[in-house]
Order: sequence, then C-alpha cells, then structure tokens
Amino acid sequence: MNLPRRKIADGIHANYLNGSKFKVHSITVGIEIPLDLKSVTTANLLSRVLNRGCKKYPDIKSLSVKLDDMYAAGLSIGVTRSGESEYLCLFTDFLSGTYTQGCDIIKETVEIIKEILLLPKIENGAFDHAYVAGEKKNLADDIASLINNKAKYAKNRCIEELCKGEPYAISTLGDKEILSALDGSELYRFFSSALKHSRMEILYTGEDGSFDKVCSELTDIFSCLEREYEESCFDCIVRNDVKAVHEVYEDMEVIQGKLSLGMVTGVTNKSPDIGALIVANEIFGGSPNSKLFMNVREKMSLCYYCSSTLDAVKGIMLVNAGIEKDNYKIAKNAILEQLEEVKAGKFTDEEFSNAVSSLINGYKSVADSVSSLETWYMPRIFIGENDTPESRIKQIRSVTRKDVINAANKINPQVIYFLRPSEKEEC
Amino acid sequence: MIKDKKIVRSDFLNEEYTVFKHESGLDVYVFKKALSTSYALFATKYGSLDNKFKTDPSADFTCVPDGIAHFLEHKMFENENGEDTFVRYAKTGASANAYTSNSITAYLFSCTDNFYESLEILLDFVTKPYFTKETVEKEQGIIAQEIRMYDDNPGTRLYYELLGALYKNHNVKINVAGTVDSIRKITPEYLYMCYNTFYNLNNMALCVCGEVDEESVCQVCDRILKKSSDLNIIREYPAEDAEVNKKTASASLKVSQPIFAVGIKDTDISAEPYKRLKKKACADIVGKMLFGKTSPFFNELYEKGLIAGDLHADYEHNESFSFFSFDSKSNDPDKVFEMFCNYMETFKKNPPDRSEFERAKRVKLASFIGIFDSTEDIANEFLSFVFDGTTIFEYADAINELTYEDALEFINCVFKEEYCSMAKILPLNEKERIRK
Repeated sequence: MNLPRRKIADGIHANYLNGSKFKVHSITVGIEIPLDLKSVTTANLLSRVLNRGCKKYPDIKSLSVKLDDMYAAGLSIGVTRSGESEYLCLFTDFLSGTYTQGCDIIKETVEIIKEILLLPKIENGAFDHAYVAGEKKNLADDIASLINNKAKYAKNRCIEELCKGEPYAISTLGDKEILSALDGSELYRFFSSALKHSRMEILYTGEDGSFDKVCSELTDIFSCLEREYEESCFDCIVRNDVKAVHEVYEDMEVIQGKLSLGMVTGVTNKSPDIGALIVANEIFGGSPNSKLFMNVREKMSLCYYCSSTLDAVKGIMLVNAGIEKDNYKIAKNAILEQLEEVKAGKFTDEEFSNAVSSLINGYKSVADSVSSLETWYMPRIFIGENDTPESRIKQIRSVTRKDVINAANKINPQVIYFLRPSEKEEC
Repeated sequence: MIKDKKIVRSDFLNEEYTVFKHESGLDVYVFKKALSTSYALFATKYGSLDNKFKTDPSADFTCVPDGIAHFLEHKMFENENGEDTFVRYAKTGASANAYTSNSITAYLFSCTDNFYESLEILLDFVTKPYFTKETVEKEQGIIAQEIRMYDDNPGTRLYYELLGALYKNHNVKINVAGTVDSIRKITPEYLYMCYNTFYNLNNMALCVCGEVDEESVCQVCDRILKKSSDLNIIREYPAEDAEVNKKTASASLKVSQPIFAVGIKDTDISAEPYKRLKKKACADIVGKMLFGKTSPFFNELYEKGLIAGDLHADYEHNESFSFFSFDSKSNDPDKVFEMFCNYMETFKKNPPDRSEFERAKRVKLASFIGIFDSTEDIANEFLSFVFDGTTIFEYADAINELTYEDALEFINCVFKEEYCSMAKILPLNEKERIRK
C-alpha cells in the first residue's frame, strides 16, 4: 500500500487519500487501545464523554453550534475493532473548501480535533462528574440494548462461542460491572496514558495538494504532547485446530428464530490462499447468486435472508439466517449441504466466473465513497496490511477452480447457535 | 436518437443532468458523474398505498390484497425461461436489488463495468412479467419470513404503531409488506392486474447516474422498450380527517429500554408539487431548529437523562398524506411527551430567533450537497423528487427561498396538540409490571 504517509510526532502518523472528486472530505484520528474487557469498557465510556464537549465548547449545544457554523461539519468519537486490534476513533467530515465561502475549513477542523482530544473539560484531574454519570447510564442502557437487534445478538453470541477465551470475543461495548466502578479520574488517567503512549494513525481524505497543509496543522497541535511511545504488535489469534461441532440453543420471546453458524478457516489476509477463500465464500453465500440464496431461500423458501461473511483478519466465517423454529434442522442441514457442494467442487464454471466478477465489482466501488475508503484503509493502516482494492482484484483474477476447492476445504463448522422462539406468555 | 432532450444545470452544486422522453413513453434522466460506480434505477410510481384503483373512469374500483406491490417486486425477478434475474446480472458483475415503499417500487443495479449490458437486463426483466401459481406459493414462504423478521424489529414496529395511531383510514398505516394473512390471498391474476396497470412506461421513470452517455442509454431503451399507451390511472385513498385516530399506541417486545415516537399529523396538503416540496424543506429546517442538538428541548431531555441519543426529526409526505415525527429511546416516554406538549406552547409564544433559522437553513443546504458524492444517493433522491412532481435541484431553491416567517407559519399551523400521537415499544417485563 503506497498511501502518502508523514510522521506527525513519535508514533503518530498522517496518511493521505486523494478525495478531490468528493464534495465532502474527512479527517479520522485513530488511537490504539488494548483489547481487554476493562480497556474496552473504559474506551467506550471515554468516547461518549468526549462527545459531550470540551473546555472551549463545554456542552452538546455549544459544540453543535460550532459544528453547524462550520457548514454542518460532522464530529463523532467511537470505538472500532478490526480483528484483535482496537482503537478509539475520532471521525470528522466537512464540506470541501469550494462550498465554504472563504472559511478555512481544514484549519477549523484541525482546531476542533485539538479542542476535543487535547483540551478536554477536566477539573481536579477528572472528567466532568455529571457527564461521566450521565454517559455511564447511557452506556449501561446500550449494553442492555444489545438484545434489541436479534440478528446481531445471535451473531455475537455465536462469535462468543466460537472464539471463547480470545480477545476477539470481548463484547464491543464492554461490561456493565466494570462500567459501574469507573469514574472521571480513572477515565482521565486512561485517556492521558493513551495520548502519551499509544500509537495514533490519522487518515485524511481531501483535496489534491492539501496534505502538506493538513500535516503542518496536525504537527502544530500534537507538538504539545509529551510522548513516550510504546510500540505494540498487532497479532491476532488465528485458530487452525478443528474441534467437534458444538450446538448451542437459547430460548427467547421472539417471533422468528435466528440461526448462526460459526466456522474457522484459518485463512487470513496474510495467507496466500485468501483470494481463493474469498471466491469460495462468494459462491457459497456471499451474494444473491450464491448457493445459500439460490437454494436455501429461493428453492426451499426457508428464509428471507441467508448469507455467509468472512472475517479475513481473524480467519473465521459466519452464516446467518432468520427461520421458523420448526425449520431448524432442515435449514441447518441445507446450509451444511451447500458448503459440502462447494468443498466437493460442485459448482459450475459460470458460478465461478460470476463470483469473480461480482467481487471485482465490489472492490472497484471502494474508491467511490469516503466512508468505504476509510473502512478499507483505516484498519489496514493499523494492522500494517498492504493490500489495496487493486491488489485484491489482481489476486482474485488469478484464482483457479482448484484453488477454490482447496480453500473451501479449510472451512470447518464449529458452532451452531440457535436463538429459539419460546412460547409467548398470555397477555 | 434522442429527439427532445433538455439539459438542467445547477450552478450552485456544479452538477447537471439530461432529461428526455423516450418514444415508449418513459421519462429518462441521465446524471453524469465521474465515479467508478454507475447506478441505474428503473421505477414505477406504485407502492403499498395503491390498493384501490381503476383505469376506466366509468368502471368500479378494483381492490387488491395488502402487500401486493412488494410481492410483485419479488416476483419480477423470476423469468419465463426459469432463469433467475440475479444470475443474469451475475454475468455482468452488477450488484442488483429492488425496494418497495408506500409510493414507489424501484429496481436497481450498480456496477463498475458492462453498464449497458446490465441496463439491458434491467429494462428487460422489469418489462416481462411471469407469474404462476407455483412460483407465487413459493414466494409466500419467503415473504412470510421477511414479515416475521420485521415483527421482531423494534424500529419497524414503532413506525407502524405510530402510523396506526395517527391515521384512521389512510393506507399509509398498512405495512408495505402486508401481513402473513394478506399475502396468502395474492394470486397470479391479481399480480398481472397490478402489473398491467402500474408498470405502464408512462407511469415509470429511468434514472441513471455515473459515467454514462445518454445516446447509448437511449439505444438500449430503443432495443428493449415497446411503446406503452398512456393509461389514466385513478387511485383512491380513504378519506382522512385532521384528527388523530388515537393519542397513544404501544406494543411489547423483547427490548431492554422503551423507544418512542411522537407524530404530528398534517392534512393540509397542497395540490401543487413545488408547494409540497417547499413545505418539506421548511419542515426539515424547523425539525433542526426545534429538535436538533442545538435546540433547548434536546439539551434539556439529554441533560436530565430522559433520552439517551439523538432526537431524530423527520417529515414524510406525498400527495395524499404528510406527518412530522421525532423519535428516540427513553426510560420515561410519557414524561418526554408531557414536556413536548409544554415545549409546543413555549416555542409558539417564544419561537427560536432568526439566527437559529439562518443556521438551520445553512446546515440543511450543506447536508444536501453531500448527496452529490454518491451515484446511489443521487439516483434515489432524484427519483423520489420526480415522482412527487418536482426535481432534485429545486430542493436547494426551496431552501434558499424560505424565510423566517415561513418557518413561524409552519410552527403555528402544524404543531397542535390535537394532531399529536405517541407510539411506544415497551420491554416485555415493563408490561408485566404495569399489569400487576
């Protein structure tokens, strides 16, 4: 990957993507944090408290007025995970200077980043007590709300079972017990330590020729940090061992059952056969031309959605479907049968070439939006993976049928999770 | 060859598009955009609202089962030779889909190569209906699962609870997908009847966006489309009073925290499309002023811990219904509603000042510019404007023309307690607690 890259401070780098064709540009700052339950919980609370304001704009209202005055610039802070690396992410987007009538929008945006990250509202070494208390409650509610989206809930439960004991299985929002013990001073210590020691990656997508300006503005604001950068490694546990298939049922008062199958592939972005596995996934369940869609949905009419997805950092695959309770066995067997078909090479040359062209279409579209570019590059910059949509296309084009069959045979179902509708109470 | 084409330009956005009427009767819009992904949308002005219609003024109205527009959308993907449309698209690498709303059914694809081949597939399959008893039955199973999936979705349930509270008769309260029972009544005959009425090219539009050339688009139309004779489609929607159906509605689901929506029914609907558009633009600005993150109401609720996220304000409208709404999650929705009623009185007496209006206006305009970064967003927005009788560039004009006085008028006419309803989705145990 040859994105222009500059050092801003020790362990802080800025990366550039040309966004001249877009009317809306962006700057994203990622701050690495450790992937353990306590850090994840703390980072989630921190991101919410940072969203509430800073010294100069001490509440949501004053911060929002400022952003509105910057031609509706967007600012949000969240926590992002890729494989087993986790980072606090400050995302901004703003109109290109063409539409901002003399306002130096880049300078203003970098200023806001400075206010939020480097000049937070701190008293006696702690974040504002009221903000911390309010956001603790909101985060606790959100942790409890994970149950609201049943498909996502089932998928997360399946991952928990599949990757038991591994950092990957840690809940993305953290833990409510740990949360209840956090306070404003602990939050500030955590943040100060991250700003001092953690690696930071900044991605700017904007006008051609403006990267120098952005870098010099960024260097200015980060010069105040006393850095003691501690280099970290970005390993991710990839499992190759295969255990017996483990079935898990959970009863809940829902209308539709959610089936989630967890599989290990052991194949990651670093593996030479990743291209072949991506094609195998596409044939199996990656698109509306796939075996899962064509058979489990169209021929058997068992579900509205049934698809497979890969995580090529972690080396796992998930299959998700929404089904009637009574169709559990039929649907499970139908899904596994389709997987066996791919493994046995029972797919036509047409299915193969269609999968390849559908994938290429997807990779070519990455360049068409700031958010898809961010989604592609930001985790790769952190993990240090060099593949680009273009290199991926090249890789996919060189895949043969035989490669697909070999890669498919590395897919091993390990967990079958079913969120089972229970009988409803009389109302 | 294109006969009468018109180029429409916006200097403000630095964008332009070409429009022409194809000989077949179809309106075609070509929006040039230098991105890798091209996008095409072929749509009919037909949605879940259109359950009662006729084409012969002297005939009786035909009534069809709820959910049929959406069912028809699913069934269009099947072809007489047994080939699935997704498989046809797969050869060009295009990514295809379709959607049905209350007033539009749209078929679309995006691609980075072979645009005209994909366009040919799009125009071809949408103009060739093929329904049999067997394929209809098979689809009933798939759509029943789609309906049941949404039955578990708190957001969807909230939306329809709100519409059911606001509307006594209007079809907008009917789920776009229908119900598991209503779709059982669908037959091939009904499907052909709806198809032959609404999939008339004069009732449809094609919008393409990307690095495309209008002459080549026209050539594909020439090859595939046959002339449609214009039908006079007469739709009937149930009459609706200004008063709401009921003040509150709720359902219980497996959720951890209540979610709520407040709706304000607006039955003062102009027959002139541009006036409707201007009202929509005004509602967007007022929504930002009264419920946005800079508003006193949002900040009070948030600081008191009465809401946990944004207040999403919206104004939905077409020629037969319109309503304003805002929603969020809250542990005490009734308290929020009470505070909203007081807030209504306050902001009518002491409305937000002129600078708030100007800021909201600037923000809406700036957010609108962002649409023009995506061929998908452009095409979809484009079409919804066209089917409501206006054009996408006119939205920016409408915002620019709006005055502070327009916003005050909107506030005074629309925000009345008798037009308000609230819908809630409550956790299952919450209902139990109340029952005990």
